[in-house]
Formats: sequence, structure tokens, C-alpha cells
Amino acid sequence: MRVEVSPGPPWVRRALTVLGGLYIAMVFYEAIGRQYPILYFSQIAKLFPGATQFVFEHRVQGYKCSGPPVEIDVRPFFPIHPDDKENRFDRAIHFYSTDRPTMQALEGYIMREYNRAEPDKIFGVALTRIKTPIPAPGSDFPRFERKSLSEYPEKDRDVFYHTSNHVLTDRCKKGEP
Amino acid sequence: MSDAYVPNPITLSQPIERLELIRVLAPLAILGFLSSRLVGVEHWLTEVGFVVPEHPFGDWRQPIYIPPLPVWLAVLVALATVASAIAMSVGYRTRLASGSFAALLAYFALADRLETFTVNKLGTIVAIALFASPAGARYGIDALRAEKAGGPPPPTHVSWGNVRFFQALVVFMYCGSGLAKLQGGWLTDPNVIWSHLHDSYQTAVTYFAARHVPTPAWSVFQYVTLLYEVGAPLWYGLQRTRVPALIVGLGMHATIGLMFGPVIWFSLLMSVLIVACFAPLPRLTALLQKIVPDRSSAATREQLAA
Repeated sequence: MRVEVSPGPPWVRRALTVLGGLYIAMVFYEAIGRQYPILYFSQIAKLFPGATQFVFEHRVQGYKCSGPPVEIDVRPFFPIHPDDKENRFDRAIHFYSTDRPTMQALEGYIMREYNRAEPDKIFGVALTRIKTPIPAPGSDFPRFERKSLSEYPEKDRDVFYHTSNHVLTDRCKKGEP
Repeated sequence: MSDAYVPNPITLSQPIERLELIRVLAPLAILGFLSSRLVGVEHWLTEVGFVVPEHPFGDWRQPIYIPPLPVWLAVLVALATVASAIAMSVGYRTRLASGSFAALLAYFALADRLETFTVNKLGTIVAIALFASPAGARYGIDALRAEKAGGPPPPTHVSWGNVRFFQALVVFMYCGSGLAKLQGGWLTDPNVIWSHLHDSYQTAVTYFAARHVPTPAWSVFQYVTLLYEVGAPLWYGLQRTRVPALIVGLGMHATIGLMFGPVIWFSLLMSVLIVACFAPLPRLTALLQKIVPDRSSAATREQLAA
């Protein structure tokens, strides 16, 4: 038997043993206690901790200076995992939907990307959360697929962020999105 | 009363195969997770894509703010990540590769909350632990080069902490996860797993299973998962229950990987860790030698016997 020890002097190896033990304790604590930013790398064990009542999806509508809002398919603007909830658009809303600066940055990004290609510009956006109730256990249900906003019942839709009227009016007056 | 020395079983040296299997396979699972991000790296780490703005007074979601990179640098970072993960897996300049991979994974996790998941947080720690270990001393290019250079016989074991860290991490991660599920109602609501079968993670397998597997079977799967996770320190601690626990764990991760789309990389990483940590050594060695033919093993046995 030939044993290879870890690199470094003995005190480094002892310190690493203590650090390793502390890290494992933090992983355990994070799973069952509150989450602290300082323990960021320990937040790995709280996976699927409870049932969900709804399937959550998000949609965008763009405001033009005249006419009704138009639905925008933002998947081309978020090409990493465009068809599942790991895409950056859904993740941004998951973490930051109540954080106005981030939602304003998201609004700016969507307008920039849309207006780059479209001659008929948008001057603001509305972000909608769709909450589709989970079907009863054992019941038949359709395969998950992306649908347009208008196909969801009104009661399942909730606009949680939109460009304010005065900002929209100002932008339209200036003619600058 | 005998005064014979009885070694502490926890601190006994551990077979090097357990460490090397993690070194060979874990970087590939992490790289698989990162691949869809690395392909579109300009939409991830640069202002070509959406970037969360800086929060001047800090933010609970992300401990520090790191500004986006220029596109050329992001491409270099992506290439360096692929190179370091592959070098680590084949055991080429393992210390440098694992250090670089750990640093890059830490950067990804800190620079962008939106693409940070369990795989790259856990992956960072796995890479740091491998960097601090003698990983690469066997079953890789470094080991072959050392053998050709006429160095000492290759090691058969590593000091205990290098393997015990991963074993303890896995069982307490499961146990914490199980206790979080207990707090979240997994015991009182029999339809937790059923409730997670309907969103964009849904695969063709999920849809087929959800329509054909009887409803009570989902509750059975839920309670088996809960029992497996909460009791993980016991199941893996006792020799008699270790192999059954391993089979349940691999079955659970295979099911998750097939039914929850992108979560497959997490399942693969966890499967690698539990196999490396707890599989019976002869089978583990056979598996490792199938992946990486170890020319030094026969020579080692002869030299050590001599």
C-alpha cells in the first residue's frame, strides 16, 4: 500500500480538513434554516422543497404609441435554454420581479432587442405572470407547450410590471423609445 | 485486556480509485451542464445579453457584483473552461487544470446569478476539493508521465480526508435536502412529485409516465425519496444498507434526469459522486479501468509486492 497525501505542509492539510467540515455543516444548515448571501456556495441542498400549486410562465407585451399592445416572443433575445424555465428571462423574473431597477433594465433590454429589428418600434412593455393551476392527481392533461398570452384565461394572468403611462407618453412625444 | 492498536476506521487511508473516478467524470458532468451556456457565452457574461444591473447596497441574491466582460474575453474564458475541464478529466497537469477550473466555476457562480444552479455551485466546491487533493496521481496522463520518468511506484491510497470529504458532503447534502422536504410538506402532501410534472421541465418521458403510472405510485416514489434522503447518513454509514442505498440513489437520479429535462446534469454529477464514494471497490476499480486503462496497476502491484 502506498499512500499519496495531499499537497502542502501538515498545518495546511489540517486547516483544509476543518474548512471542509465547516462547509458541510453550512450546506446542512442552509437546507433547513434561513439562506444567507455569505453562505452562497452552501445553497445547494434545498431542492424541490415543497409542492407547487401552479405552473408559472411569463410573457411580454410591447406598447406602441398608438394601437393595442402586441405580444412579443422574447425567446430569440434569451437564446440560452429558450424553451424552458432555465432561460435568463424567466430566471430574472424569478429572482428580481419585485426589484424595480432590474425590471427596468429588463424592459430596456427587451426594447433594445425588439426595436433593433422591427421598423414599428415599441416604447414600453408589460410583463405578465401566468399561473396555470396544476391538474388534479390522476386526471388527464395536455402536454406542456408554449401558448400565446391570449390563449390563457384572463383570471390566470397577472401584469406585475409595466412601463408607466407618463414615461410612455414622454417617450412617444420625443419619438425615442 | 488487549493493548493492541486499533485504527480509527474513519481516518484510515482510502483507495485512490474513489478520488480518481470523481476527477475523471465530475468535470465532464459539470461541462455538460455548462455547454449550453458556453455556446452562447456572449449572452451570458457580456452586455450582448441581458445583465442584472449593479445593486449599490449589495443584494441578498448575489453576494458581490462583477461587471460583464468584453466579448473577446468571454470567449477566452469559455475556451479556458472547456480546456481545464478536459485536462482535469484526462489527468493532464491536473493541479493546474483543477485550480483553473475551480477558479472559473467560482467566477461564473459569482458573476451571474441567473445561470447559477446547484451544479455550478457544487461543481466549484468539487473542483476546489480535487485541487487540494492528490487527484491525478493515478489513472491519467500525469501518472503515465511519472511512470515513464521512472518515479516511485504509483500510489494505491490517499489520505482519509480526500475521500471522506466527498462522502460526508453527499450524505449530509441528502439529509439536509430531506429535512427541507419534511419542512416543506413532503410528508403531509402525497402529491408533491405529481405537482412538479407539468411545467417546462416536462419531457416526453414525464408526460408518458404522468399519464400511465398510477397516482399512488407517485406518492410511493415521493416517500421512498424522502426516506432515502433523510436517512442517507444511516443508509450509507452501515455496510449492510450501502449497496441498496446506492441502487435507490442511482434509480432516483436516473428518474430525475429523464423526467426533468435540464436537471440531467445535476443527476449525472450526483450519480458520479455516490458511485465514487460508495460503490464496492472491485466494481469501482473495474469501471475506472474501463474508462481509463491504467498501465501502472500491474507494475505497481509487482513493485509493492517486491
